[in-house]
Amino acid sequence: MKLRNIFMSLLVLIAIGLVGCKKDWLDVNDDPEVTSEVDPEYLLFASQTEYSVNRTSEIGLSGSMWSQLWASGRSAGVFLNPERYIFSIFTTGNTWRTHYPNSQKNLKFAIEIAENSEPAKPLIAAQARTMSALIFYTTTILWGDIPYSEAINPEIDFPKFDKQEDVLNGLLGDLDVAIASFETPSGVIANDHYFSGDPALWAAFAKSLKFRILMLMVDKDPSKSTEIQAMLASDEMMKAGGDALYAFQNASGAFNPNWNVLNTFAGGQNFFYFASEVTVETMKKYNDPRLTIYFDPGTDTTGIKGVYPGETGSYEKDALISLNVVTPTSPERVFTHTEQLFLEAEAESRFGSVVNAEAKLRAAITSSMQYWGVSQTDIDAYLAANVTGFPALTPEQRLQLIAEQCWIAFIDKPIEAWTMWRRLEFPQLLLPNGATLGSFVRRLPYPPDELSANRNAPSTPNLDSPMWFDIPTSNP
Amino acid sequence: MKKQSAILLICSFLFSLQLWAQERTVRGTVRSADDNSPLPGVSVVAANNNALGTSTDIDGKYELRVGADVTSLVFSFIGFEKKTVKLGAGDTYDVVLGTSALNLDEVVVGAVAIEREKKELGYAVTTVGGEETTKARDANMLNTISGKVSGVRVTSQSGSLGGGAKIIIRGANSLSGNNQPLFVVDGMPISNSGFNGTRNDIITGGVDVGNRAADINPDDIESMTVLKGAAATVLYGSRAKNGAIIITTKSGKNLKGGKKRSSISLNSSVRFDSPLRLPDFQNEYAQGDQGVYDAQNYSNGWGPKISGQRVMDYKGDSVNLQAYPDNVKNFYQTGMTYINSISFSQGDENSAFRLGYTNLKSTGIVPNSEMERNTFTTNASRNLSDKLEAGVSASVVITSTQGNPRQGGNNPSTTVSLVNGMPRTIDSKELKNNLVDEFGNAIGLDGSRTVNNPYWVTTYNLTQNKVDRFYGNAYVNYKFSDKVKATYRIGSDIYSDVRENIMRKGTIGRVNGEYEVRDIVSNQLNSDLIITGQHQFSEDLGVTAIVGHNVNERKASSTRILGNDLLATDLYTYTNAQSISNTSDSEIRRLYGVYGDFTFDFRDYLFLTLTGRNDWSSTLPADNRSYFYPSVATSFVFSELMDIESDDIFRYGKFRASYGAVGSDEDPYRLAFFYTPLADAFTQFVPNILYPHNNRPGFAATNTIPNDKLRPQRQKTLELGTELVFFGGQLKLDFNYYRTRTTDQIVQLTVPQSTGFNLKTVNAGEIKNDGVEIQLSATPIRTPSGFSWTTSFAFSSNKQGVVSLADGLEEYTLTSGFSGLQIKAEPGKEFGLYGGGYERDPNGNIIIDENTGLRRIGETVRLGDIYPDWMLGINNEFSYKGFNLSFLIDIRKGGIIFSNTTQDLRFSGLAKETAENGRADFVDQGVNEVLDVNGNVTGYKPNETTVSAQDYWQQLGNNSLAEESTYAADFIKLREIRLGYVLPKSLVSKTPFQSIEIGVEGRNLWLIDSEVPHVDPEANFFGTSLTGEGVEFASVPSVRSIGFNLRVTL
Repeated sequence: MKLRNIFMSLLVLIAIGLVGCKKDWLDVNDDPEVTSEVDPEYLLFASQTEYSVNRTSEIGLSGSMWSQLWASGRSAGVFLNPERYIFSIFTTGNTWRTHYPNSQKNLKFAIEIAENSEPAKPLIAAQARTMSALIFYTTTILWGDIPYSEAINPEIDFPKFDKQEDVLNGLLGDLDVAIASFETPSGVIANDHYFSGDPALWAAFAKSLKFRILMLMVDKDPSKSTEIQAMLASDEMMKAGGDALYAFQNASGAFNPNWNVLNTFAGGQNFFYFASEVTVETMKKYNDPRLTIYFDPGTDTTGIKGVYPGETGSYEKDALISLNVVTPTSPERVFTHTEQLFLEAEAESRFGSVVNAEAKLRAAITSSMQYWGVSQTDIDAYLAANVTGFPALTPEQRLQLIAEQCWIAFIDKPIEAWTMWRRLEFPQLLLPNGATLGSFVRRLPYPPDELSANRNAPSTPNLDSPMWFDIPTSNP
Repeated sequence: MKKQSAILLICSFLFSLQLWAQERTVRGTVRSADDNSPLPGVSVVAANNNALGTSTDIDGKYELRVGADVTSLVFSFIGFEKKTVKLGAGDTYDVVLGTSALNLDEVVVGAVAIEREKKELGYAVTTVGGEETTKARDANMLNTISGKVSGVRVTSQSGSLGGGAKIIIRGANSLSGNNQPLFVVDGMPISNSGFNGTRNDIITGGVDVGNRAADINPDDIESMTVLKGAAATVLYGSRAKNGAIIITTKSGKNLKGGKKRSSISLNSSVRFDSPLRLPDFQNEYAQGDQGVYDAQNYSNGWGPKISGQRVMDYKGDSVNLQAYPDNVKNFYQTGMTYINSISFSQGDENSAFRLGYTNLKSTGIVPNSEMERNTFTTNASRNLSDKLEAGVSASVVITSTQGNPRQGGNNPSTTVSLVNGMPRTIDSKELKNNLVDEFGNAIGLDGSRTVNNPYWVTTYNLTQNKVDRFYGNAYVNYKFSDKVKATYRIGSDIYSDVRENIMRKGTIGRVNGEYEVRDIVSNQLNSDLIITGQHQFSEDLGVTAIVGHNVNERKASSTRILGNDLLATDLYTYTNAQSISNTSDSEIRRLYGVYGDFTFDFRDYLFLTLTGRNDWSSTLPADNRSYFYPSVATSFVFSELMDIESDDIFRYGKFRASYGAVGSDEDPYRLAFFYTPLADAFTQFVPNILYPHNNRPGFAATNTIPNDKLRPQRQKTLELGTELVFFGGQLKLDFNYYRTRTTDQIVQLTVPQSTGFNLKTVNAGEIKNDGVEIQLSATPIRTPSGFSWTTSFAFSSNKQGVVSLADGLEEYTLTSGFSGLQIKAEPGKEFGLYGGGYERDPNGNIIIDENTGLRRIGETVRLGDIYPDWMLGINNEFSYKGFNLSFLIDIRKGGIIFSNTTQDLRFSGLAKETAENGRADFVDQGVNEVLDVNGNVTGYKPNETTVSAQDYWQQLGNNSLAEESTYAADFIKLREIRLGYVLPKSLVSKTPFQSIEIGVEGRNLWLIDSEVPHVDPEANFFGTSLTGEGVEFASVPSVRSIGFNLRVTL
C-alpha cells in the first residue's frame, strides 16, 4: 500500500507539473531581436542604401570596366574579368539580391505600412513607388526581361519574366501614381536622404525618371515621342540643385565604397583604376579640360594616355583615375540635373528644336564642368570650340556630339554610360583584348540562383545580343 | 590414529552422502580465465531449475543451498562462456570462466542510461567499445568510428585543428537543416552544434570551428552505443530521429579486484600530422598573361616558360626566373599532437568513483595554428541506503584554438587559397622572410598589392576560438522494491564559445585593420523522471514498464562585434576601432514530453516492446504544438527453440522487426512576420557600410516567408533484421533492412529572389531512405598457440529519394552555395548537386563559340547525387600473444564532389594539367552552331576555331561552370592502421604496474584510389550543420597522421 501511495503521488506530481506549466511555459516563440512594427521611411532608407552601395562597389566597379568608361589595366582579376566579359556570378547575384529582396520587398512593405498607418503617409508611399520604379528600371537595363508584374509577392512562387517593353510601360504608370501624390502633398516626408523632405523636388525627380524611361523606349516605340515632347514643353523635370544624391561621409563605416577599395587595399592610393583609351581619346578629341581633373598621368611625363581594354596598364606610361573622381565623400549620383540636360538636349535634337537642343547641350556641359570644378573661362572656351557649330551638324553628328559629351560627363556613372552607349553607340568602343564575346556586351547573364530557383526564368540570350530597347547600328 | 582418521573420513563421507540426499550448501569462487581476478555478479543457477540461483558477490564468491535433485550448476556472465559444472560430493566448486567470443547475453546501454539485454531489442544497435576511440586517436572522437559501424558515415570537414566531423546515420531524412544524430552522455543530451551554420559565415572566410561533440574526451568513454533508427526518440524526443549516439563514461564500477578496487591509469600519445594530399602544380610557367611575364599585376601561372631569364620579381628585385616545385608543400609543417591523460578510479560495494584528466596539445600543419584542450571528468556514485543511490557525472572541457585558417572566399585572408595561388616562381622560404618592404608596407604576391602573402596571414591575422564547457548530470535512484524503481536525473550543458578574428593594419584588402569578436553562449537543461517496474505474469510471461516525463530547454545567444579601421597597430580592442558594428541573436526553445515503454518477454526468447510519447513544443503554433508518436518492436531469438549444442555450426539466431513513428518540431521563430533593424549594407571587396548612416537607421522585412500554420513533421520507419552466429562465434552476421518515410517536413523552400524573399517556410514533401546494413565478422584463423585473425566488414547502402514535394513544387533547393551551386531535391531523385553546365547540341556535343573558340556555358544542370550509394569498411585484425595488428580500409562508392580548388587552379594556370602540350593554341573538340540570316540555329558543324591554352583553361575554370570541376566522389582509403603490444604479465610483474601497453597507429594514411584531382574527395565545405555535401572550397587539406601510444595501469 505504502509503495503504491508513493507511486501514485509521483504520478500526480507529474500531472501537476504538466498542467501547471502547459499554459505559458511554452509561450516563448517570439524572437526578442526583431519587431513587428516599423516606420516605413526606415525601410525606404535601407532600400536607398542598398541600391547606392551596390552601384558604388559591386555593379558600378565592374560596370566601369565592361562599359570601357574606365580600364582595369589588368590590376586585378575582379576588374579584368568583366572587362573581358567574364561576369562573376557574385556580381550578378549580389546585384539581383540587392534589387529584389533587399530593396523592392522593403519598398513594397513601406508602401503598405505608409498607406495603412494612422494617419496615412501618402508621401512616403510615393517616395517608395519612385524608388521602386528607379530600381526596376536599373534591373531591366542590366538584364532585359525581368520579373516585374508578378515580382515581390509571397503568393507567387515563380514570378514570370515580363518583356522589357511591358516592364518599362508599367514603370511609367507607377511613376504617374507617385507624381500625383507629390503634386498634392499631404503629410510630411521624414528622414529623407535625397531632398530633405521637399515633395516638389521628389515630383521633379520622378518626372525625370519617367522622361529617361521614355527616351529609352522611343527608338523601339516611336509613339513615345509625343509624351517626350509634352514633358519637354511643360518643363517640370529636375532643375539645377535638384540632384538625387546618396551621400557618404568621411568616416569609417560611411566612406564611399569605391574609394574604400583604394583605402583598404592601398591606403587611399589608386593602384587599380586605369584611364580607358576610349574615354581619354574621346576627351582629347574635344581638348577637354576635365582630362587633368579626371586622370593622373603616368610617371614618365608623356602626358595622359588611356589603356586599351583588357590590356596591362603601366604606372609609368598610363594614366590612372584621379582622386578627384573617387573620394571618401563622393556621393552616389542617383540622378543628376546634368543627366537630365543631356536627355533634354537629345530629345530636343530629335523631336524638338535644334536651337533648344544646342542650349540644353551647352547647359549640360556647363553643369558637368562646374561640378568637376572647371573655370567659367575654360567652360566658355570649350563650348565655343565644340558646340558653336551645332546647328550645322547632321542629326547623326549632333547625336554623336551629345553622346560623347554625355559619356565624358558620366565618368562616375558607368551603368548610365553603358545604357547611353547602347542607345546611341557613341563613342566608338574597342573590342577588348581577351574578349570572350565576338562583339560588345549588351546585357548581363541572369544570376544562377534565380535561374535555378525560378522555373519561369528564361535562359540568358547571348550577351552581345541586344535587349528590346536597343537597336544596334552597323557602327561597331 | 591412521585408522581413526580413515574411519572418520569414511563416516564423514557417509554423513555427507546423507546430507546430499537431502539438502546442502555449495560454495566457491568464480574467477576470470584472463587474469584470474574474481568475477562479481556471475549468475549461478541450478541446471534443472531456473528459479533456484544466486550470483557472486564482490569477491566472486557464492553460496547456494541446493537440494538432492540438483546435479549441476550453470555459471553465466556477460562476456564469458557459459559453464556447466557437475556437482560431486564436495561442497566447494571454484570455477574459472573463459571470455566468450559469442557474447550472446550482451548488455547494451539504451536510452536514458537504462541497460538492456541486446536480445530484447527489436532494432539495430551497434556498440563500440571505448578502446576503439583511443586506438588510433583523433582530436575529434567521431572520426575514430568511421568505417567501423555499418550505416554510419563520418566525414571529416577539413584539416583544421579540432575541425568538424559530420556524422550521418542511414542517410539524410531531413530536407532542411540538421541530419545529425543526438548525442547523449550518461543520460544527458548534449549539444553537437557548430554554430558555423549560416551560409554566409562559411562562405566569407569562415573557420572550421568543429562540432561540439568533439568535446567528448575519448579517454573517458567506456562505451558508445549507436542507435541507428528512431529507437531513442521515445526517451529523448524527436531530436533523436536521426539516430543517437549514447555514450557511457568510465566509472569505478567495473573495476576488477578485491573488496576495494583501485586503478590509476596513464596514457601518453604523440602524433605527427602532414597533409594527406596537396594539389598537383605545373612547374614550367611563370606569372603573367598570355605568355608574357608580369609579376606586378599577376599572381598566377599564365606567363612565359621558366628558363632562368632575368626579370623583376614581385618585390621589385631583379632575379633569374626559377621554379620552386615544393613551395606549397614547404608552406605546411608537420603538425604535432600530444595527448596525456591520467585517471584515478576506485570502487567498492557502495560506491564508485573516477576522476580523469586529459591534456591535448596540438600544433597544426598550417604555421602558427595551435590548440590546447584540458578535460576534467568525474563520475561518482554512492548507495546511501539499500534503496537509495545518488550520483553525479560531469565534465569540464576548456579548449583554446589559435590560428586555424579561414576557408571559402571573399576574404583577403583565406590561407589555403593564398598558398595554392602562389606563382610557381616564388620561394616560400623567401616569402616567409619578406613580410614587409623597407617602408613597412606588406609585400603582396603581386606588385599591385591585391593578394596577401600567406605568411602575413599566418603571422598576423590569427583567428582564435575559446570554448569553455560544462556538461553533466546528477541523479537519484530509489528502489521501491526489487521490481519498482524510480530515477530522477537533471543535467545541463553550458558553454561559451568566443571567436576572435583579427586582421592586422597593413593587410592588403584591410589596410586599416579589422577586429571581430563573436560571443556565443549555449545552455541546455534537461530533466527526466523515469519509473520502471517489472511484473511477472507467470513463469513464462513478464513485462518491464518504463514511464517517464521529460523537460528540455535550450537557449542560445550570440553577439558579434566588428570593429573596422583600427587606430593603433596590434591593438585589438573595440575602442581602437574607428567604426563598430554590432549584431546579436538569441533564441530559446522549450519542450516537454511524457512517455511510456512496455516490454513483454515470453520465455526469454520472444520480446515485444510498445512505446509511446507525447511532446509539447514551444516552436510550433499553439494549436499544433502537441504531438504523439508510437512504436512497436519485436525480437525473436529463434535459436532458443532449437536444440543447439556448443559444437554445432549454427549457434545463435535472432529475428527482429520494428515499426515506429516520430513527430518533430521546428526551429524557433518560424511563425511570425517581422522586421529587423539592420547593422550594415553589404559592400563587395571592402567593409560594409554601417547603419545608422547619416544618423538614419535602416530596417528590413524578413527574408523568409513565415508560416503560422505549421504542423509537426512525421517520420515512419520499418526495420527488419537478423543476428546470426556460427562456429562458436567465429562467424557473426548482423543484417538489417530499413525503410524510412519522412512526411510533412517543415522546410524552408528556396524561392526565387524575384519574389522578394529567399526562403519560405512550409510543411512539404516526403523523403524516403531505404537501405541495408550488414555487419559481418569472421575469425578465419585461431590457433591454440594464440594466433588469431579476425576480419570484419561494415557495409551500408542507402537509397535516398524524394517521393514528393509540396503541391506545385517540382524541385526544392536545400542549400545554395557558392558559385551558383545548389543542392536540390527533385521528386524521384536523390538529393543532387546542381550547377552550370555546358551548352550541348542534341547529340550531346559541347557547343563552341565560333568567334572565340571557347566552350559555351549553358543552363544549370544536375551534376549528380551528393550521397554515396554504398560505403564499406573492412577491418583486419591479427593477434599473437601480446601483439595486435589491425588495419581499416574505407571504401565509398557513388556521389559527387565539386572542387573549387581545381576550378581556381585551372583559372590561374597553376594546375599541372594547364601546362599540357606546351600551351600551344589548339582547336577544341566540339561543334559550332550554324545560323541562318535571322540568327536561328539550323544545324551544327565541327569546331575549327583555335583557342589559346589560357583562354581555354580560364573558360574551364569559369566560376559559372560547375560541370567541369565535378567528379565522382568514390574513393578507397587506408583509414587506420595500428600495431599494439601488451607486455606479458611476467615482465610487468617486475614493475610497479598492473599492465603496460604500447602502440603505433596511423590515421587517414593513404588515398588508394580516387578520380578527384588535387584534393581529398572527402572534403566538405558546408560544415556539419547544413544539409550540403559534395562541395570543396579552399578547405585546409585533410591530414595523414601517425602516432605512438603508451598506456600503463597502476
